Amino acid sequence: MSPDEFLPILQARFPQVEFRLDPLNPQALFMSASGVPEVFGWLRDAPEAAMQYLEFSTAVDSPPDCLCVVYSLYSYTHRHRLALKVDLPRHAPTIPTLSHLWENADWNEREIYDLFGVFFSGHEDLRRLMMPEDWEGHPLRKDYSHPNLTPRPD
Amino acid sequence: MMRQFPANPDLTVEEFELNMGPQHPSTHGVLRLVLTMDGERVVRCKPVVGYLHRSIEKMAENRTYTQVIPVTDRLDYCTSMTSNYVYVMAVEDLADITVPPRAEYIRVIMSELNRIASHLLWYGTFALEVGATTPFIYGFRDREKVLDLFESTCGARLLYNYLRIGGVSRDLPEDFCERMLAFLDEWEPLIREYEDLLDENPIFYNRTKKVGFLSAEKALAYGVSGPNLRASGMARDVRREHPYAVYPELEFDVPVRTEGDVFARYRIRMEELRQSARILRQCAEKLPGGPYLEPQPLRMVLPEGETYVHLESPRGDIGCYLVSQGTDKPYRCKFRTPSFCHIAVFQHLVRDCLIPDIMAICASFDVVLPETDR
Amino acid sequence: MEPIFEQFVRDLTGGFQVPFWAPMLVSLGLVLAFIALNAMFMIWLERKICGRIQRRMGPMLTGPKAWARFSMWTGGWFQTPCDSVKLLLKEDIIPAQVDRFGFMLAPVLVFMAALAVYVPLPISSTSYAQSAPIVVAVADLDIGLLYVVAITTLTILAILTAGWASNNKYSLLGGMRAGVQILSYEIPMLFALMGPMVLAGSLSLGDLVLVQHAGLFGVPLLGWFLVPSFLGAVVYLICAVAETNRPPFDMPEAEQELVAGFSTEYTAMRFAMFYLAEFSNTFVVCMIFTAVFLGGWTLPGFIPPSSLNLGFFSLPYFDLLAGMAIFFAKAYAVVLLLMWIRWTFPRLRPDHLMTFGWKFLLPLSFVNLLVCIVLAAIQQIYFGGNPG
Repeated sequence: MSPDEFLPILQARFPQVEFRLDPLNPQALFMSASGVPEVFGWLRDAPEAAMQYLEFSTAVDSPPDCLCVVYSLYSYTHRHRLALKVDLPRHAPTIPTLSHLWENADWNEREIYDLFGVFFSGHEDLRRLMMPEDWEGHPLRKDYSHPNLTPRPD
Repeated sequence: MMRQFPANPDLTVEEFELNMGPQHPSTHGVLRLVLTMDGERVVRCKPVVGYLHRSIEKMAENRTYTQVIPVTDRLDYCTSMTSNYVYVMAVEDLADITVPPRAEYIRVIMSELNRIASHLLWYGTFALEVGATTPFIYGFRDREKVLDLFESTCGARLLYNYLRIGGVSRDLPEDFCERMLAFLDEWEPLIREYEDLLDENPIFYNRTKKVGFLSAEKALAYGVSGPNLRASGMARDVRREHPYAVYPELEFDVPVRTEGDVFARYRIRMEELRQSARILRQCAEKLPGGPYLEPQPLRMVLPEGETYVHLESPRGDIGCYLVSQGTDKPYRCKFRTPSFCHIAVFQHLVRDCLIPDIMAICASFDVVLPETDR
Repeated sequence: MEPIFEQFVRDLTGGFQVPFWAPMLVSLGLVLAFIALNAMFMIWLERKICGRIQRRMGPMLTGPKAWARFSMWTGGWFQTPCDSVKLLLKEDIIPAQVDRFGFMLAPVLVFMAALAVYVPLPISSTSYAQSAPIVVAVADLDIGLLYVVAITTLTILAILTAGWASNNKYSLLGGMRAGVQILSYEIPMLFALMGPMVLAGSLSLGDLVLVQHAGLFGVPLLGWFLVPSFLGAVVYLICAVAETNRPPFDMPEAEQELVAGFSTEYTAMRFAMFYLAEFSNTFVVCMIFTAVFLGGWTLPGFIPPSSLNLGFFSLPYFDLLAGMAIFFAKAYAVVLLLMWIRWTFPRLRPDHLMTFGWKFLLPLSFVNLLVCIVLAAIQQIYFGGNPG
């Protein structure tokens, strides 16, 4: 199933959550942060979706307002892929965790927390993964600065 | 956690923490495993990564599309061609570039040769972890011949920087196919030699059979892919599921086993060596003439958009999620690497086993740290 | 050693009476020199065999270039002396938190054991024609076999001390593993050696060899205890490899897992002690195997004359020299076998090691003992007992 086939099904099932198509990415759907655990739970367990595989999750920083967390799910039974993007406010990005659904999400979310500063509520062990534990700042943000970062000559 | 013996209340038993790595003669790269041990048994294992974090994704945001290619080399330096390929494929997908057929064949030849080189390296280090030193030399000796082939093509043995957006950077040398076929003719019977050293050995059997069992459900939940997933029973190979390049025209088998233990993962990779040789022979036969590169402007500007492409690296499913905002540099380039998920699986697998088993399990998963830490 | 040494000095100097302490010192000097030179040779041999098995050449760059160009087997002989000098020149580091007494005691203990075990090992003998040939050993003890097994147990103490005193979890694990491994394999080894003891009716190693020369059931060719006590020979060889911590039984020093096991914290001369002791022990077990199962310095049916007439001069002590040559040839053949095993097999896991030793080798060694008792009884009853 492609994302535009998913869209009406999801909108019917979860009317309180906003979904819309992504004009720039034909494989993705935008959704609001409120329904994250239920929607993803349904996507994993429902037989018509059967997304047992969380391929990756990451974040894209778009200053000044929003930070978008991207989840890419894949189903081995139906061989379809769906990417879900959640826009979060940049100053206080919080989203419920998915580590109880896919164990893969555990480390993915730790990495996003480390590099972008997104807080995953309900995650058991949210600490830095790549950077040292006492690092300040979130390096992959666009406004990150560090004395060692020098601009490249163009 | 302290335990007391009911018969002798003065005797207490405590668990202790053993730190393996990041500097250790055996962990593949700078991986640190914090083990909580009860005597010789491991109770808990927490992998700590990040020692090799070089912020490749941040670097990619500050370079033009062509300048990112050498950076992707360092993503997984054992399979540098595949890392190049996944990034270049993502850019070509976004920019809608068609690659000439000769370049597609050359890319497949390079990917499969890289698969052979990576599996030979894996074979050597895996046998070394289990304690046999001779297979290490055999694997590396034959890997040298593959690296010679690479060196004659692009001048480098490990970090190739060979693929370009729209093709490859230079054409194959004239006698490349003859030399490659000569190498395959000489080397394919040697796979039998590698197996002879380990396969029928009862010591090896005891070390690898029923050790490190990973079920298919757990494997999917952790995001395991590649030979490790195929060893647990799921017959999934990106080259078959979502074929790219010229794989639809090539015939090859995808080995699958259901035992899910270290031995199964070992057998699958040995079979994959043979299948790669088969693919290479077909490519050498079908290699067309023509241009090897669709030239692109030096500073490419891609239209706005996002894409995710993935392909089958020797370790698993490597993917690139590329976001472009209409400039000449990637806006966000995320690499989905198989070893990231495989190391996360260690927490689940390495429980209630002995230290030698840890080494066997780690080695059988074929993790490389540069890929994990990026 | 004393009778041979005194006879040698008398022949040389025409009647000089040696003081009582001279043979002891001479034997000590010879054994030390032998340990050092043999270790150098064996390390070189190990690296060449390893190279050949791995289809490469081993050390080639040290030593005269012409020798290296001549053949793979003559090149690189200078490697081991260079490595030894390097090891001696290294800085001796004693980490701050170790237990100093134990740390310094362990290498001494291990070398003591390695040195002391050479005492009853016979390498040759004189005067076959006489009814009581004189055996060439530092001292051909009546309880030679028992002595050897007892002394090799000292290594356990040394390794446990090293592991504990190093104040390092890896060393502790290595030391514990080594202790448990050596203890478990001592017992099948002892029972495997009991077979030949029963067949020969004596614990003295010299006697064992002489009985083998006499033959089984009157047939010299069947004399080597390898034949009647074949299971015992196999069990002994496996246990010997386990005793000396050689791969595939090198769990205590598994580089891939424990860095260097119990010898992690040791540097320079102290490490050299462990290393030397390991190679020395390897050769000692090969010597014991040769003496007990392969007929020692004798060949079936061959009695060397006591001096060889070469026309222009006659070589004295020929029986002694021939015996030594035969003995060392056999011992080095066993060494080659051990090296072959080392470079081919992977490593055993500790629990497999224990299972293998206790549940497989120990029952096998009992079976072997039964077989030897039966054969010795047949020999006693029908063939008039065994000589010596």
